[in-house]
This record gives sequence, C-alpha cells and structure tokens, in this order.
Amino acid sequence: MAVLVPAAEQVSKTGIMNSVLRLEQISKSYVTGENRVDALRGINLEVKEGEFVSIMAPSGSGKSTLMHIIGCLDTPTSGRYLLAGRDVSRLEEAQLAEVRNRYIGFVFQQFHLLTNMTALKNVELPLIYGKVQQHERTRRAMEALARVGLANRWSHRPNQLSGGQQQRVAIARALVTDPKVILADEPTGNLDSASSKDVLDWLSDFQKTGRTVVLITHEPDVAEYADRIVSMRDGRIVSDIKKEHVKSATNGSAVAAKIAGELD
Amino acid sequence: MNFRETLRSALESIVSHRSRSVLTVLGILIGIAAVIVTVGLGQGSQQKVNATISSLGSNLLIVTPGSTSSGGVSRGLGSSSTLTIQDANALANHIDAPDISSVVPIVQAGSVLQANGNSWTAPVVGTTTGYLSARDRQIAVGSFFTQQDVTTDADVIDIGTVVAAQLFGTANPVGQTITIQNTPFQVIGELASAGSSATANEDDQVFIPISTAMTQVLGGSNPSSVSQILLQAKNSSSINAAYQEANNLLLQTHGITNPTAADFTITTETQLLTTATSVSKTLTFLLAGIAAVSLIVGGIGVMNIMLVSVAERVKEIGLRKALGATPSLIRDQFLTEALLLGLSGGVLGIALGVTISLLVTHLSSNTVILSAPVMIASVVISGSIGLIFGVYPASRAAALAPIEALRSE
Ligand SMILES: Nc1ncnc2c1ncn2[C@@H]1O[C@H](COP(=O)(O)OP(=O)(O)OP(=O)(O)O)[C@@H](O)[C@H]1O
Ligand SMILES: [Mg+2]
Repeated sequence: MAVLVPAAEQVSKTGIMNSVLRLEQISKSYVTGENRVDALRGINLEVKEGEFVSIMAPSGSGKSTLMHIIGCLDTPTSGRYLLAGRDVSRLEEAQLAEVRNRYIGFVFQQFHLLTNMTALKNVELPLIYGKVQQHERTRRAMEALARVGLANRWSHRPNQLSGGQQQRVAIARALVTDPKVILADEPTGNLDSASSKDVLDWLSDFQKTGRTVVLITHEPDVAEYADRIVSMRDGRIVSDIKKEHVKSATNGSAVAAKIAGELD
Repeated sequence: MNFRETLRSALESIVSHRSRSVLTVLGILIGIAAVIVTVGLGQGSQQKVNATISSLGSNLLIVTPGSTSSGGVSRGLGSSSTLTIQDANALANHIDAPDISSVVPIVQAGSVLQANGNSWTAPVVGTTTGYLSARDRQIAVGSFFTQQDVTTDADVIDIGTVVAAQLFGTANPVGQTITIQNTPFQVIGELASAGSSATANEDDQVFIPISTAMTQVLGGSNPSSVSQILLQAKNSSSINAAYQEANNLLLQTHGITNPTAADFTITTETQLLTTATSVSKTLTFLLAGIAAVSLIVGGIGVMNIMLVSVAERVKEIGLRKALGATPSLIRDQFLTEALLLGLSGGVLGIALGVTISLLVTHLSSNTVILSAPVMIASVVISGSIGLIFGVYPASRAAALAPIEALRSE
C-alpha cells in the first residue's frame, strides 16, 4: 500500500503554494476502432485550496472526461496531474483507489446510492474502504447525515427518500471522509430548483470550511455559485474568470450567461 | 475493509436475492446429497459383505477340489473329488505344516430327514469336532459330537435352528431321533443361529461325524473323497505361511510338479474380502462419477449466476471503486459470495442426503452409513467448487474500469 505524503510537506518540495489540483498539458483520447476522439486537448488548470470552481461547458466538450481524470477514476493519455502535490497520472488501479478514498468526495448527477442499503450504510461505505473501525464509522456517518439535515432519516433506503434527500445523502457520503476536494458532476441535473439550491448551499458550506469544490455543469445559474468559472469547448479551456471580475460587472449572472451564450 | 465486512456484504447480497441463490446452489445441493447417499450405500453394503465373510470363521483357509484355471466353480457332491481324507491327514501334520492349527474335512450332500412323521430336506454335513471353532459357531442346546463319536462312527446328529423348527417345532430336539436313509440318528445338540448376515442359510443344515457320513450316508464313487477342507491358521499373521504350507503339501501328495496345474484351490478370507470390496468399489466409483458430474454442473451454475450478478451490479462495483475499493477487495467480495453459495449448497446437500439416507435405511433392507469424514469432505468440496467457479466472475468484476461501471445505466 502506498503511503501518501501529506500535502503540506509536498508543497515545500514542489514550490506550489496551496495548489490542490494541478493539471499540466492533460490530454485524453478515446480510440474506438477506426475512430479517435480527442476529448481533452492540452488542459492546463490549477486549483488552490479553498477555491470553489465551476467548470462550465456545453454537452460533449469533455467535462465528464476531465472530472474522471481529476477524480482519479481514469488516467490521462498524456500530461501530468498533481493531486495535493503528488503525481497521480501514472498510478496503478489499487493506488488510485486509495487516493480517491483519501482525497476526493464524489457527488454524481444520478446520486449513485446503493439501493439495498440504508442511508447510514451508504454514508459509511467510503469509511469501510478507509479501514475505519465500525464504531467510529457509525459515529462519523451519523454526524455527516446530521450536517445535511437527514439524521432522522438514517434508516431509510434510497427509494424511501426524495431526489433532493438522496442527493443530500450522497453529499454526506462525500463529506464523511473529510476529503480535500469535492467533485460534483451535474449534481443538480436531476433536481428541482428548490432542491438544487439546497445542494449548492451545502457545497458552499463545505467550501467555507476551507475545502475545495469543483462543480461541473452546463447551467449558468449553477456555475454562478462558484467564485471562479472555467469554460471549456472541444476539449480546451476557453476562459477562466475569477468571481471578483464577475462581480465587478454590472450583473454577475449576466456575465455567466454571456459566456454560456458565446459558447453555444 | 476487513474479513468480517466482506463476509457480511456477501451474506447480505445472497440473502437479498434469496430465491435466485437457492436456484444457484441447486446443482451443488443435489450433487452433495448424491455423494452422501451413494458413499453411505457403498459403505453400508461393504460392511455387510465384511460381516458375511468374517462370519465364515477366523483365520480361515478353505481348500476346495478343482483348479481355478479350469473354471470349475460348481463342485457338486458325487462328482469324483480330487480332495481326500488323506489330504486332510497330511495337512494335520504339525511338523510339515506348523502354521496350520486345525484341519477340518467336510463331506456334504442333501438328504431327506425324517422325525415324528415330519420330513424335511436339508444338507447333511459330515465333519470333525473342529468345525465349530473353524466356522465360529456355537451350540445353543445340548452338545456337539465328540472325537469319541468320530472314532466310533456314532449315529449322533447336531441340527441347525431351521431344521429343529421344521421337524420338532418348539419342542426340545435333544434326545429325539432323526432318520436319514433308514439309519436312525440321535439328536444330541442344536446350534445357535449363524445370524442374519450369512449368505447361504447355515441354520438349515445338520451335522454328523465325518466317519459316519462316509460309511453310512454318503457313500459316493470314491468313499474317501471330501467336498472341502477347512484350515485354521495359528493367527492372522500366519495366514500366508499356512497357505504356502498347505499348497506345498497338497502339490506333493498329489504328485503335481507344476503349481499352475494344481487340482485344488485354496481360498483365504482376505481373498474373499478383496473380491467383495472390489465389486463394491466399482459401484462406488460409478456413483461417485455421477456425483462428480452433477457437482461440476452445479459449479457451472454458480459461475453462471455469479456472472449475471456481476453484470447486474456493474454500477455498484463502479461506485464502490470510486469510493476507494481496490480491485482485490472487489474480487474478494465476489469470491466470498461464491464460496458462501457453494458452502450453503453443501450444507443443504448434506441435510438432504442425510434425510434420504435415513429414509432408505428405514424403508429398505439397505444400510446407509453416515460418516463424519464424508460430510467434512462434502463441505470442503462444495466450498472449493464455489471458489473455483467464482474465480472467473470475480476477476471480471475486479477488472471493471470504474468509469465504465459508473456510466452504465
Ligand atoms: N469511453 C469513451 N469512448 C469514446 N468516446 C468517448 C468516451 N467517453 C467520452 N467520449 C467522447 O468524448 C467527448 C467528451 O465526452 P464527455 O462525456 O466528457 O462530455 P461532457 O462534456 O461530459 O458532456 P455532457 O454534458 O453531455 O455530459 C465526447 O465526444 C464523447 O463522445
Ligand atoms: Mg458529462
């Protein structure tokens, strides 16, 4: 089992201050038979600790592919990816699994809760793989459920919960390991506007505790919650705007909408 | 994730697909039940054969006329026998045959027995006083004839329980008279039953001194010929020596130089045992073959359902991987599930096998022996089948790329 050096120690070695994610010339190509799809073409991106970044792009421009690489679910075809200062672009599957468990919390569009388990058991899952003892596990999972306001629903199965509640369970599951980064891929895609607002508020709360959030979406109003909006098109980053600049414009959401409009 | 977690998650998965799990293990269940019943039946019949053979007597060698190579199996009385009373006397020589402790010649023929106006046909056995110990028989009432009776050609008779019942009913036969071919014999004893394990009905026989039989009852073409000679070896370890001595002596007295041309056959108890066990072994192998086939079919069933289970749970596998499950943990999870399926098939199979065995023992004359080693082996076999046939599905699950697994709808 690989022993991961804490980020703080790495920082001084690499000289990258506060950098949680650092992508250097990341490319990803899919080859299916004769065809070759270049989903990502030389992505350079650095995300610092405590940032809330939205990656906004129209469908098919490579958002999910990028998220899979950031989340260590897949490895790039070329380029270098440093997560908490450590190069993870060439790791083995078993090592990647450990990195995911320790550093990343996922929130998916389809929730991805296990249907035959209670909310509590679902939240406990990453702790099981993190080798946390049963007693401690239950305590932390209950705490995470309480943070998303679902402590009284711990014994419910996903099919006994509303979509918004299911996504909150998924957020609790992402928070429970106290990860460095939360990766959310279209987390509001299957929710109504009230539940969407809830979910985005939870993510903002998480950021306020000093953690990093990467939110992937194609909706401008959702991207608006972040303090930095990265826009992509055809596997390339086409703009990267900090909220200060967004806010200095007369209307914040107008800027996001304008970016979206340009992209479409 | 420790072993307990893996075990629990495998159990949960099996229980949540209860009916499918039962169908999955059906093949193994039937296979193991077949193993339990067939091995039990095999052991039961073998035990029966052993009991029959050892009821013949202890450390026994039987000399019969004719050679094995001539294929003569039926040696009916009256056919000129190559075995004589002189052979018996030669074998009784303790200097030439030190490992033979007793020699019991036997002449035998069926005859009509008459008493109190009843008549009954039964084999008449002419022998010597050593017969009882050679054949491991006991006297129930009265006494067996003595050496004195043999020397004086006495007209005395001992009878089996079946003959006693036929001729005298429940009355005490001792002191009664039985007439054989116009010679009246005085009944001096009744033998205890040889027990139910005997093949031929040894209780349906009468016994008279061999001298009396040769002179008065069974005068054949060669009055000195005997139908068989029983030899008792000194102890179980001297059976082979006794065999050699008897063989050499008989070849010598018969003037035969080529051992393969022998006109007699010596059979030992161990030879009979070997023949009998080889028969039941063939049967056991056949049944074991059938059981093995059904176990393999059962294993393929497990593999099939495990593959279905992996396909059904692609999303679950992907999610578990995303949350930090390593490929080896996923593999272990499915292997454990397959192992548990196999084991539960084995345990259910043992339960079914035991039930069938008890029914068979109860409803038929067959005995089915239930032995712990067979059950332990069944558990081990069924578990191994689960594991072996689970390897392929489990490694497929472990090799799934997390994004492929998450993407599938
Ligand atoms: N496994 C794959 N094999 C081949 N091509 C793929 C694969 N995954 C993605 N692609 C291609 O890569 C490109 C980027 O896909 P990706 O899923 O990253 O887009 P996206 O921005 O997430 O779109 P959406 O908003 O619809 O989810 C697309 O052209 C897609 O067809
Ligand atoms: Mg996508």
